[in-house]
Amino acid sequence: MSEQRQSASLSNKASGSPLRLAIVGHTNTGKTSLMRTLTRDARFGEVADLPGTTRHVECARLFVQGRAVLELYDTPGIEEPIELLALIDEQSTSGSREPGPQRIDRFLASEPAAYQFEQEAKVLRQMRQCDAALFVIDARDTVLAKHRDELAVLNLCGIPLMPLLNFVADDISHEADWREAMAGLGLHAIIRFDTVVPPSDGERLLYGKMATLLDSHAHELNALVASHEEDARQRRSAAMTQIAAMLVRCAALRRIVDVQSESDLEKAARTLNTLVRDWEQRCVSQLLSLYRFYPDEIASSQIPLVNGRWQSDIFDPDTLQDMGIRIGGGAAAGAAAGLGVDALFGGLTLGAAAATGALLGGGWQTFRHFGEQLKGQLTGAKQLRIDDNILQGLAARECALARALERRGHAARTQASTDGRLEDELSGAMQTSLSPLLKAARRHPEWAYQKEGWESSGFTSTVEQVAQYLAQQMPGLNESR
Amino acid sequence: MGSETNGRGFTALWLAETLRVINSAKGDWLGEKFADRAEVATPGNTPQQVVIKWSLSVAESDALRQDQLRWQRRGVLFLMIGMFLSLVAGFSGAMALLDSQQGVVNIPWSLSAILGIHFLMLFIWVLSLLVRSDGAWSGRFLLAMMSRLRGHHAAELAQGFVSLSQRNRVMPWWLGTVSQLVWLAGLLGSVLALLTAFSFQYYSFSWETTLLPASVLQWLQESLSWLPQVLGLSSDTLTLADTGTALADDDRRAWASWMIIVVVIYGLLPRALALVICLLCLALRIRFARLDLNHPFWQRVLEHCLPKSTAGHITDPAPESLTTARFPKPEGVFEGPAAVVRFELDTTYRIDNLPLEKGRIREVDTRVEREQELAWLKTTRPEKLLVFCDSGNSPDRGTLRWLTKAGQYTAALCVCLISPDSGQRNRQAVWQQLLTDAGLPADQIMTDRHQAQQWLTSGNRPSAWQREGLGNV
Repeated sequence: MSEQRQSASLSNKASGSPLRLAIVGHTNTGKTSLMRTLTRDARFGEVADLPGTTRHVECARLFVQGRAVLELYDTPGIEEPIELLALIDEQSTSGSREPGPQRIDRFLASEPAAYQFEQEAKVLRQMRQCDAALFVIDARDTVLAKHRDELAVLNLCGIPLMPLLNFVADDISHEADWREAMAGLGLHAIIRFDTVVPPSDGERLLYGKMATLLDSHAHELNALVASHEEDARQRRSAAMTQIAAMLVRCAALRRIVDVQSESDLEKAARTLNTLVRDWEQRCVSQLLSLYRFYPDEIASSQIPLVNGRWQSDIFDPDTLQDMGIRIGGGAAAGAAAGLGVDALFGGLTLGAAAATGALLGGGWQTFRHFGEQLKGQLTGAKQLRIDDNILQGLAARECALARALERRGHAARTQASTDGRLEDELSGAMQTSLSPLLKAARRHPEWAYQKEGWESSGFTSTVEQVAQYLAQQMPGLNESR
Repeated sequence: MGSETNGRGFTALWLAETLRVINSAKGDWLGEKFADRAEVATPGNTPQQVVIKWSLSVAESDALRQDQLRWQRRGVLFLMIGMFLSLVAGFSGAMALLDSQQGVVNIPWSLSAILGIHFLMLFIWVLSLLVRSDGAWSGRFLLAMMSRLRGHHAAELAQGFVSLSQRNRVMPWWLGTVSQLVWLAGLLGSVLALLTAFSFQYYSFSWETTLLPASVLQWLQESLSWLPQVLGLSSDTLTLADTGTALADDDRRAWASWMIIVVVIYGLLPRALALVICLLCLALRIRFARLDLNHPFWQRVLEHCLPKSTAGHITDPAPESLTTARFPKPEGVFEGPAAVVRFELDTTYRIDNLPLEKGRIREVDTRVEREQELAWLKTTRPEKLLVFCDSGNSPDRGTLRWLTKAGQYTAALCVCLISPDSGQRNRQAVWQQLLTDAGLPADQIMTDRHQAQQWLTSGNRPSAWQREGLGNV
């Protein structure tokens, strides 16, 4: 009878309520960091390299299509496992082989659970209400007696306990010792994870392993994995579109200048620089928000952003040189690097498309620029535009940023090693092939001044093409470097 | 525009697209609106539905829905004006045509004047359907027109309408519907003009040619009559007349009705058919119209409305204070020789040159070791106790509790923090902080091994807290 009821409640669980998972472990092992990475929320809880930072139980839910499939409970760290195990042993009627959950319940009902072991009691109480628990281990710690006692206590709760080795990417990791210790307790399925530098398919492995251990929830966990992969794809595509739109606008940007007048040239160059910097900045903040990072939290990382801003100016020749891009000496070198100057040859640079666009569409913007160019031809003025190298540099560093954001765990707090290799690779790959794609934009100065939502279909299709091209250059989503 | 068969779905999509346009035009206009979201993510809703619900709630709060209605009304008004003008033009055109012929209507001439341009435009329209077109230029033209409209968000609404229509390939059918309606009105005007003129004025009819043989006219007349005959509208056989012969009243009546029937069947009917096709295609396309959820803006909205995770909520709050152990003031007499404890140290870690006998350097890690050590300290009561701790491990309450317990069985407790060769070096400060907070004087926390050894061998110097304690006595 009771067995029937149990199986009924199990099937209920499988169909409706989410899987409840407690994140437990010794103090200061990165439980809240793991929560941050799994929820993609860099503001979850409080993280510090101090014992007892989290003193409460906090719940976060993961959704698939609006349906909660996983409830994660962040718990305080266990700090007195040896004393706790001693107490539980003492409390249990001596000699009898009582089931673990019963012993835990007796402890929870006793007085020490409210005082000395208040924090540990929180953990155990939560575990009694959960379907499974992840035991977070700081792989940099040595295996000590207290850890073994801790595992012994947690094992009494009667729910599956899955060890998760955190910080495995660190130089000093006692992974082998931990594996041995776990094997001694019959825990062989160990999950490797790093909350700061999560492995590219870390979540998939994590949930996949959980699915094999908790087969009644396998369906939801697999759905979660699928939904995360789909999200990653969508985020990638949105990021590429964002970058492509910025590039197309920059490529379309131009100013008609009178090259004879130094001040005119300088003013125009300054305007172009400012516009490009602004657009890049907007693109960066949109990327950050797309990947759910906050500008102030990205500060010390492998991304050279401070408060969500690039530290190096794209128009600084050193910046491009660092990326392996050589700036050709433009005629406007005196005014600003990174700007090209085109002579207006009898309508050649005008492009038939712009002219027909002006005539057919009646777009005022087009017509105004058409007129400007016509005037430029008559007066012998030249036009200033953003150099191909700058566009290449922008594309490379924004793509590298997107990649870094994709790979970055939401728990990252400390300085990581800088890796400009991807940036170099990208800029190298784009050297010859990017500018032909942006040629269409060069012919449509009005695209630069369009408000972003006001895409003409030409603009949209160019952006789509460029986005596709950028996506091809990027490493695969599950590819590790 | 936007008047005819605006299904609720399309209006909602249009509103949503307009929000996207407004947001990018105004530079993150929606930033603050994200905060007060309505509950839109009911389980089972597709992302499309969620996004649309969210848009509707935002549009409601911004009165954008009213703007849209105003825009739609204006669109209908423009369309009506257009149709009316077309009707007037068709009417007056046909009237002028008849008037110019001074009582004798040249049938082929008049028919080609009334139906010629209509046929040409219809042909072009059919061609434009064959050519794969997204209505780009016409859309841009419309946009340029509409962005001149005054009113709150009118331009954004126009852009939203155009970009949504273009993405879903609805644009050609919108434009088709409008042009069919306008043409229908114009042709109706012509028919009305013919009716009016033939009713109230005296006309004779003729088929005239200078170059062509008469058989061509005959053939033309017969072919034009074929469709009306099939449809059962005209069964009379008419004889061609030229200017010279005067027609009988019956014949004139027959020719007049024949002409009207021809204009209806070759003018109104194809246009009406085209209109029906346009409306059908429009309805079909609108049914399957979707927002482009891959757009970064919608990604952000989805992230907001259909969160992959919710922010944490605390289910079991933190206690106001935690019971923490404190180092007690040692009481009683301590005469045992100095002792050293290697607390939770790696057994391979060597500490050389300790001036102590072997038995007084003890390892402490497990529960049993901890209990045994405390019992041993209680009986031996050493003068000095030096505890080595690995500061690479995180300190915790359990460690602190044991240290405080050990502290009560010795006159002077000193903790020496051994920093690991690599890795977690930054934890030493945390240890120092915790020990100081628990009441251990700072001079009894050491980080240098040699200093600790010195302390062990130095004379029996009372520590800071003992001095303080003596003072109190």
